[in-house]
Amino acid sequence: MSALPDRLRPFAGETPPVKALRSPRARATLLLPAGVLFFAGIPLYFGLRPDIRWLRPLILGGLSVCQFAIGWALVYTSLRESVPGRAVSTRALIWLVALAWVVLGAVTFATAEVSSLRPSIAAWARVFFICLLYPIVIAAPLMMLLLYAAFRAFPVRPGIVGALSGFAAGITVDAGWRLYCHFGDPVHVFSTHMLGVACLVVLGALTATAWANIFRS
Amino acid sequence: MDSEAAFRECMTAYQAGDGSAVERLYALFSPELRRFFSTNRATGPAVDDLVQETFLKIHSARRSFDPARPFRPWAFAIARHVFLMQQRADTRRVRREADVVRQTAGTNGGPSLDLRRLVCQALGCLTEEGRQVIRMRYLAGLEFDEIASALGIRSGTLRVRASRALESMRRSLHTGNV
Repeated sequence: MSALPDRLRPFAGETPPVKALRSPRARATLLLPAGVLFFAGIPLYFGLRPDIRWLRPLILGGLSVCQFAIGWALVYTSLRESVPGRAVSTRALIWLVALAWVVLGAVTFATAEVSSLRPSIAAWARVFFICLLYPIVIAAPLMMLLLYAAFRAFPVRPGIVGALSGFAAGITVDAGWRLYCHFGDPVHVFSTHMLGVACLVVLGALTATAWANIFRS
Repeated sequence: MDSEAAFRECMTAYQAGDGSAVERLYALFSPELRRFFSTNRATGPAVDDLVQETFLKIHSARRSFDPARPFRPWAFAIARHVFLMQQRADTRRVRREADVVRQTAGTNGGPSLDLRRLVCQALGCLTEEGRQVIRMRYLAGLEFDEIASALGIRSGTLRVRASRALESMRRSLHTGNV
């Protein structure tokens, strides 16, 4: 039998018992209420967009739920990625991320078909900052919650886990924000809402990398 | 009991707080880890370090092991991570060391250590003004105009001063009077 090296000897005594983490699917399901809170909380707090009746709520609701579902697929992927040996393949990751952007685009164009109100030139900058910053600020706590859940495991690629968590939080919050945002013009959506989601991806990746460097070194 | 079942049994005991499971796991798994690191071109003491580092990470990550799933993919993902981190640290260290060597010994076409010493001694023979000009022009790499404005003198004066300082250094180096 190999002798235990000195560095590992402290662990051979009493080690505090730990509870094995649940499967990524179970953990994603446990986090679902938090996601629903962020998704539904925005229209509940800020109110629904004024053109909601033209948008046929069933269709808009269906698209938003579809966007929310993609967000939660990303949460599941992030939690799975955080468990060593369970990382999804790069190809699957690329497909999932591409699908998420396609869904975002589809929701944008489907909404714009019915109502594509554009902010006036005078209000453009104000609308830009509101629609960019509010979702980022609202999504940040959700992103931190997802990162905390991911870091309870042992992500060996923290940057990817962080980017996925940021993306998931961004998509989930954006699904709710679109039910409130008055403007359905694709230029507005792409230049603000999607920019916000992209910012959260970068923020998530940076936060997770810093988290790993600080707490694991 | 096959090895996979033994690994899982060890890990379950480890998660439950049984310290002896660490020793059993080390005895069972360290030979495989050694082979893994050896085939990845790690050698001698580096292999031992990597094995120990992997076990430290396994300790930190033990919560994430699912007893219903196989042990090896989980453990080797951690081992691979440890190996890559070590490689990255090594690359950084080698680069830092190369920088230090380049700065001190003058690799990459720079002057040798002896020559540097001679130049330093020749600089010591100059007046303070001459030394200042040579340092700013040839060590800091500033342009004559920049040095002139920094010292508050005319560019022509500076060029004369630099020329005299260089001539003085050249003489010192030729005569070996340093």
